[in-house]
Amino acid sequence: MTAELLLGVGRFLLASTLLLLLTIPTAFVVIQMELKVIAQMQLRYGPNRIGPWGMFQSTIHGFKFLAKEDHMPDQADRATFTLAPWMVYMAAAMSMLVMPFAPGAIAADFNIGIVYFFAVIGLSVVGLLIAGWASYNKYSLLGGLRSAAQMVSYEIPLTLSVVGVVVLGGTLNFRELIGWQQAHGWMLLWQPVGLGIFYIASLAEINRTPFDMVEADSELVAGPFTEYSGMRFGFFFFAEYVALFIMSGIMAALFFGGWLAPWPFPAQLTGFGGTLYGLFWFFLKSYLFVFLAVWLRATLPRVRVDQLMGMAWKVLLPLAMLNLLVTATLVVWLNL
Amino acid sequence: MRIPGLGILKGLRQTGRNYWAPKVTNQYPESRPTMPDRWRGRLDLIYDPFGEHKCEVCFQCAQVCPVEAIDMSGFDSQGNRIRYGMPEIYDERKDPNAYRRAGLPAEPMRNAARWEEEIDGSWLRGVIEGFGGRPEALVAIFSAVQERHGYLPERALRLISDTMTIHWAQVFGAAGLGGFRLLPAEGHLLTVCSCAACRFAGGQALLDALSDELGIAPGETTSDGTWSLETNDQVAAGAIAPAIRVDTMVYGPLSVVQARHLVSERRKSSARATARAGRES
Amino acid sequence: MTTEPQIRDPLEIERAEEARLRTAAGLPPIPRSAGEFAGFESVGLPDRPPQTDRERDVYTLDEGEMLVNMGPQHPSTHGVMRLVLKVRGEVVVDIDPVLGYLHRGIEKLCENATYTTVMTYVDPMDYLSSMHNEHAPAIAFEKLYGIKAPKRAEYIRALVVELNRVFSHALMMGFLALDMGGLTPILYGFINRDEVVDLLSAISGQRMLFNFFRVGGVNFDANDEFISRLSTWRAGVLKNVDMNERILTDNEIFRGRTIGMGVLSGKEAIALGVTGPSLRASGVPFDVRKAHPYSIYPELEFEVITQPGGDVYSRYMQRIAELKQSIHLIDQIVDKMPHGAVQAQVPGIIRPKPGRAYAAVESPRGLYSVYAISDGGPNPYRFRMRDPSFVSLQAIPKLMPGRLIADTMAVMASFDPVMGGVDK
Repeated sequence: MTAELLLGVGRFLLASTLLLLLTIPTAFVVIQMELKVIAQMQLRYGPNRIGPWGMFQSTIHGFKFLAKEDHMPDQADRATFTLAPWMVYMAAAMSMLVMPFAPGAIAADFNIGIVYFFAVIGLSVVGLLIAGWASYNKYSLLGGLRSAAQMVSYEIPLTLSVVGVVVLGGTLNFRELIGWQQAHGWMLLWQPVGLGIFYIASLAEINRTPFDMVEADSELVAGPFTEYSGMRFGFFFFAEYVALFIMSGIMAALFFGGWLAPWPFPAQLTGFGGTLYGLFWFFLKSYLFVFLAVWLRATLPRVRVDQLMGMAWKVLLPLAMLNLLVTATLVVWLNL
Repeated sequence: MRIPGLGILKGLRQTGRNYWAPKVTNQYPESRPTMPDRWRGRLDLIYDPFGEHKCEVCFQCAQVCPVEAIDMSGFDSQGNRIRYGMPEIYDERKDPNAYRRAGLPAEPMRNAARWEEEIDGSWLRGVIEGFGGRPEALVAIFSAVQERHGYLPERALRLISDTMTIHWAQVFGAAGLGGFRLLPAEGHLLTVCSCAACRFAGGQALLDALSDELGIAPGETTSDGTWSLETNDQVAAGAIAPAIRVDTMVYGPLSVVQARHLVSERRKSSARATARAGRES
Repeated sequence: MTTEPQIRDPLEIERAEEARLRTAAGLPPIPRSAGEFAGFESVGLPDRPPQTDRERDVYTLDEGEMLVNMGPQHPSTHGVMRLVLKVRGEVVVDIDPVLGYLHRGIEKLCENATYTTVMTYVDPMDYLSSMHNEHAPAIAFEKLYGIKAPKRAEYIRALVVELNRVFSHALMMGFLALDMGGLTPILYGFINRDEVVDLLSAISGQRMLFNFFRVGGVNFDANDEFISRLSTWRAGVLKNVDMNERILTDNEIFRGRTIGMGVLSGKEAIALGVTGPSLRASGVPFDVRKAHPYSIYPELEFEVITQPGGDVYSRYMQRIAELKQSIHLIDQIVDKMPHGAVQAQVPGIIRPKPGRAYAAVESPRGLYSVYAISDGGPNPYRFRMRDPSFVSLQAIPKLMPGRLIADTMAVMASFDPVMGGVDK
């Protein structure tokens, strides 16, 4: 009993440490992609001096944050000001826990993984809100309030679009859901409307262009991050990009078969070989969606805050409801 | 009828295509842009088709610079080394005012106090009037001042500039033309630069050679009091390392042979001048 | 025991003295600041009581309102401009633009410069249309001195001026997109600008502050290098503009944010003194090149372009149409360019007879004009410039109330103000 408990605790510590460590290279890779891809689309080369093809530019960015002065406004609320970056970062890092990287490479494979994920990823709004409030800056405050309004409204269509998937797959566990997709084909084919809603809402949920109302550099300077500097800002920055990767990964898992290849999974690949094979496909899909988000950022202007809210409540929410209704009816009728 | 999303797709197609398109950025140090023939924005001196400097050291640029920021030296058409600028410009860090601005204890500049020596204004005005205030007589007026003071004090130059309404840059440029002293003669100060750049370029060998040439160690003065040797890391001549400074004039880059030659020639000429002065008196 | 001498703020001493005098005279004490007047302290209030009714209105806050200082350092105020926004949540209630952060006293500098050197001082004024800045004083001084520039000089002038308009309008598309969160168009705009500026440096020798116009002509004739570069440039000029158009013009987000936004009717635009593309986008066909022809424009064929809408989108479309019109004009100018001298005979120091002259040109931002008075000396007695972006900015407080903070940026960018010109 004691040995089992110790083993469990040890396993938990190992997994969480690994995931926390994983967030940092993930952020570096995603930031590097953003720098390079946007540059290429703007007919520039992008960073190309540090390392081969400028590979280590984002790493150097990270270390630069460590070296910078950690400045706090005089009238900032010290406790919450310090807490906010942690909350945002932890929300991103904690949601990595249920990420289905590959068969046998899920840190916590529990039966309500999807519920856990959407509960945890929504926590970052608290961090942004208190960052906006604690900074004692009007831009930060406006940005914080925007983040609260935007993320809370977009969580509803986001979750509703996933409910369709869950109803169809009949499970809240990522591994089982991918198993279902192996048997019935990718969820993309079953839930195209759900995919559309999910993609738009997930962009809004992680504050990506064209829904980056929170940061809105041409209106609110940097939104809630305006007064942050040094590693505190670095945490926000990393969390933003880790969240982008996570959302891409979750989209791959929910709609694009997670670790499945476009052709049937080779049966002879079991154990470590299967894990590697799955990891390859999972990361390929995730980074494709990261690329898509960066592509959108290079192209689109920002939507306005009232259009953003209008879209959530007037378009996406009814559409998601309808999608859910149709899915549920079909599931019951055809007994899928 | 406009299908929603088509406009966005059009933009995505454009950026997506540009992802593979050739890039327009210049990779600056590797590939340099070709400037138009008429390009006026160069920050260095240009050469004429015969390979000569186009700058004729006419000091006109120094003359029009409203904040007197231009400090220049070069060789005029006669091959004389001439320069325009305050003696302390090469010594900016040793300028007492710069020290005070930086909150450091200020040490007086060598001879600087005497450079601003009081002069007899009415006598000088008399001299200028004697020449009719003609600009051609500038050199003759300088000779008179140098005869009286042994060098050209700054105040005298300022007074000449004001009285004759000649621009300060031109007066100073003429004074630096050769044959006149801008600092009182108290022997020559030979400074070997000891900044990092100069030491890398062989400054130590230069110092050893000059110390051997003069027969004194750094920080000492020759027995007749005409030459002193010192090292200083603020000769401020990084681009021409290794450099030495004789009084206010900076020379470089110098090989050991050149430096020995320079100093021995200067010693010979000053010895000749001393002998001539002795003969004349 | 000695006491430390106290250093007092001279302003404080002055105020203490004033307060003492007021009490002696039996007058009520004056409020010390707008904050004291309004009954609260807030960053952004001027340190004095309100001077006008308008100022009192702006700085008196109702329940739920807040002042937000946008600028002088802000990513999208097009330079150093300060907008005091009175907001209720995200909705803008009122705007008070505060100018003067880039004031360099260019008019006074020009009054102390000779007629030739004035050209160097007007360059950095509206730094996106330096050629236009030089054109108006050149015309005014020629009127004052009573000479005419040779025909070829006039053609070269028109050519460089239209080239300048091309890159100015191309940049405006980029700035508008940037202020609405689009990252890419500004870079394509700058590719265009870089090409034109290289071209202009081939003829004038400088990339930004050209110093190209002279009283009675231009500095250089067009050389082979310029002509060959011009034809290369002409072949590919619309590439970057088309790329921007593909990204923006049909984009649903862009259209959703600009159509019907910041509508300025023709009547209001005329009443506010708005000129240039912004006025024509409101449907008023006023173009200085047609209405008060100068230089060689009577000899060129072109129509005044107008847009019916008067909103941000119309102003954007107007810029694109005028950019293409400028390219059309450049073609005509190159076709018709005569041979001859490029500089009339003028003395080194120009001393016009006492008198006054006015010259207006159509700059990319509107009517840019110069009014110069000569007293017979070597420098202008009075030199006055009317900058169009300064006037256009007046429209923003009119248009913004009731709109959102995000729209402030879009509307401001659609007028394309350049702070170097506003503050002079």
